[in-house]
Amino acid sequence: MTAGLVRLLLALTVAGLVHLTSILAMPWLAPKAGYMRLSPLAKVNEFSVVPAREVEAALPFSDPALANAVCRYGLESGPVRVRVSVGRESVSVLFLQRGTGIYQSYSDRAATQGVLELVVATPEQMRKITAFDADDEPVQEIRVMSEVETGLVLVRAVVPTPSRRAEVEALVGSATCEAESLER
Amino acid sequence: MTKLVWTFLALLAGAALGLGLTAIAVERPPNFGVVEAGAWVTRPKIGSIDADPYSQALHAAQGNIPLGASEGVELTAAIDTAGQRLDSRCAYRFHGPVPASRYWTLTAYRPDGALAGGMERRSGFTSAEVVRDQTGNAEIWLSPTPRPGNWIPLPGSGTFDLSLRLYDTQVSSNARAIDAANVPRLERVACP
Repeated sequence: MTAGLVRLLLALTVAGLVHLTSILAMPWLAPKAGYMRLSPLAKVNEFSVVPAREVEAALPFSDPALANAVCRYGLESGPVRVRVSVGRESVSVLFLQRGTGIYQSYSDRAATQGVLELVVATPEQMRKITAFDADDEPVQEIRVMSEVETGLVLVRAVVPTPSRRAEVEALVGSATCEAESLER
Repeated sequence: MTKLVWTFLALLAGAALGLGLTAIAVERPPNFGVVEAGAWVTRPKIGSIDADPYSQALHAAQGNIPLGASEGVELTAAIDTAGQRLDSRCAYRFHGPVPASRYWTLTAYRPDGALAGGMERRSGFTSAEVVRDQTGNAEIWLSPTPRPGNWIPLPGSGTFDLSLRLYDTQVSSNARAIDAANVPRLERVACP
């Protein structure tokens, strides 16, 4: 009787552990996670517009009323500077990494003079960047810390009416994503 | 020896139960921290690093990219205001005030996440393209047969899901600012 009870408790403990582990591991293990689907459509350190049809084919439950541009950043040779002109559109910049998905997001409300300027860097690169900062000058750019050397930047904007798609796609496609040198 | 076998079986049963629970959790996600308003549901913090593990697992298994936390709020509906599963054979009327936002979009999906209208037909509206009434509210019809006014064609078989995305909205989904009184109603009007 007691042995049966012990085994029941054992089974329940194992069930709990397996359940929690598999839930936590899902974003890393799922081959169809959003990051993994978007990843093949991205070029390294360069934005490319992903046509609406390709987004709809690659990502389930995507909003057809968005214009999308994606860039894969690589921080091996230095931090990456992302510049996005926002104009008067509703533009968002999302940073994604494998497993976590979106880890940072900014809207055009964070833009200064119609431009969102962001720098992605590893913690080590970030320390060097802040060491260069002049004490009396305010920092203009938004700084994004990436724990890993590669990830995706997704720029998307609402296309209010279909007739404006080309215009809004040109806007998100004009975003730049360039590696910078830390040597000055 | 028998004792060992029983212990082994207990371990095995435990592991199977654990994986089974995970499968159920992803298929029919538990409503931890979910905000419900009428037919609509939203998962706070989903587009951020603070999302709960169940929401994260659900999105990873589904494979979509949610709205970023500063991008907006997404409300989804799988049922109508009366609580019945959305059915593509029926006609629905979407009406009432939409929470304040710079833009909103309403999109209909098949259960697998493909657009209800496919690549060719309309699957939704943006706030900029809907025709509004005198009060400034929009009325949108969803049905398999054409309707005058704002009409989203439904495929005519199976279930469907709706997403109402509020871009650049003041509404914070975790602040309980969303309740049944200030979200659009989703009324089933006719059903074969």
